[in-house]
Amino acid sequence: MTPDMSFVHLILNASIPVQAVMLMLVLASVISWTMIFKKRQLLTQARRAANAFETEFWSLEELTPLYQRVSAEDYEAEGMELLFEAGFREFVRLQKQGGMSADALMEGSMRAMRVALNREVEALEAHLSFLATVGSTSPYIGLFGTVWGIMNSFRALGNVQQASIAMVAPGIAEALIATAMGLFAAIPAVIAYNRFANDVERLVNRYDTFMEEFAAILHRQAHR
Amino acid sequence: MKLLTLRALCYSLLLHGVVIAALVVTLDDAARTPVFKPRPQENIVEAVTVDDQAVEQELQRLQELEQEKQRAMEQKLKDLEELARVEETRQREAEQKKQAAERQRREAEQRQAEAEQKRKEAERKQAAERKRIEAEKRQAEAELKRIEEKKRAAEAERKRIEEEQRKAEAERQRLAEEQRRKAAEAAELERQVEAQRAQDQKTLQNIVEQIYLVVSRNFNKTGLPKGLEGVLSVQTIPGGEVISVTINESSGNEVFDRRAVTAVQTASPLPLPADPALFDRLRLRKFNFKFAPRD
Repeated sequence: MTPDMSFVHLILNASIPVQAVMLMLVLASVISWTMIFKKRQLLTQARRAANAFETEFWSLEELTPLYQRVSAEDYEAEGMELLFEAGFREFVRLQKQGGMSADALMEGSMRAMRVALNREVEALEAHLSFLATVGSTSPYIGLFGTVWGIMNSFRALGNVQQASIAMVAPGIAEALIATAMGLFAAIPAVIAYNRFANDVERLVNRYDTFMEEFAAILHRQAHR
Repeated sequence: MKLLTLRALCYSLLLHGVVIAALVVTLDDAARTPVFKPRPQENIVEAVTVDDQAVEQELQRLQELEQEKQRAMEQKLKDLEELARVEETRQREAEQKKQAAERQRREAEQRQAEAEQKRKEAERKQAAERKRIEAEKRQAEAELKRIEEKKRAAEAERKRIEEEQRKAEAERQRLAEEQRRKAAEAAELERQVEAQRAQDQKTLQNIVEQIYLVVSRNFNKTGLPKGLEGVLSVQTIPGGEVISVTINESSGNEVFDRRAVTAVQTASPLPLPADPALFDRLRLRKFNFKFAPRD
């Protein structure tokens, strides 16, 4: 009687808790990879859009046409465009209202831009915490499965008179699969989390800088 | 946005599928260790074609041969049985003879054993007798020895007592001698002390005389009535240095007393011995000095 040590056999033969742990880890891995792909695409897109917008912004003499293009109904603005739109709209609206000091004008448009920035940051950071959670907890979940499996192996071993390594080996091997899965899920999640957190921070910095520069331009217009 | 998520999910699933497939393939390969299986032994059939008649003849021949063999076997068996019977009768006779011989042998052995026992008994008795005599002899000797021992002990005791008496006598003599010696020594000491005392007395008188002379020399007696005398208490140290002078018994004349004290103080150091032993023996540390100027 030779125990079948094949991968599929080991997984199918595992006890119910260990199988549950494995399933959980596979799900976590799938979801975290989905997040990774999605986030990567989103961030790349945002970076590219920011580059394009900055180029356009600094090459224009007049801001009104840009504003009109950005605020059109069928145009889906994102990132810096949203900031610009919010700030400029507020500024124009307050100017039209009249009777406002230049400082109050500035303050109003800054506030609008800050709100837009906050919203944008929130969108960029969405789901990042999931990656962090998977990265830090899935090794423990895997370890739990392993410990459970080894525990059962030894319990079974306790009832036997003559114990041999061949009796526990399959149990331990199947238990160790859980740890391997946990690590498989955790490592990419941690790496991706660190990378994306860094990217988001840099983007937000860029937005911040742009906001200040745009505010300077508005300031100039307000005090004319 | 939804489209994006869906596409990402597809990528993710694809990735996991590939990883799992790779794992399954590699792990299964690793787990499937080659097992050596012995090939089943094949039976090799030797086939020869023969015709029926020959087979029949061969069979008959074989049967006859078999019967012949059986007959020979039975004959042999009978012979063997006969032989066994003869052998048995012979064995039985031999057995009977052997038993008779055995019986005779046993009887002879028994007789011999009895004789041996008797002999041993006699020997034992003799040995016991001998032992008894020896024991008696030993006892007598021991008794003799004991008596001698006692005699020797008595002799030793007597000697010891004599020795003790002699010792006591010697002791007594020694004690008497010692007493005599001590008495002589005491007398000698007495004499020495007496001599010392006489000498001290003389020295003291001499000292008193000299003190008187010195004090008198320093005493101013002008204007004083004659016949006055007082006792002064003087404290000195070896060498004659005066420490203090007080009036012990007044003369009745105040001027005399004061002048006497002054005279003693002026006369310091007094002519006293410097040797502290002698000084203490003559009790000069504090003494009373009776001063009465002559004329």
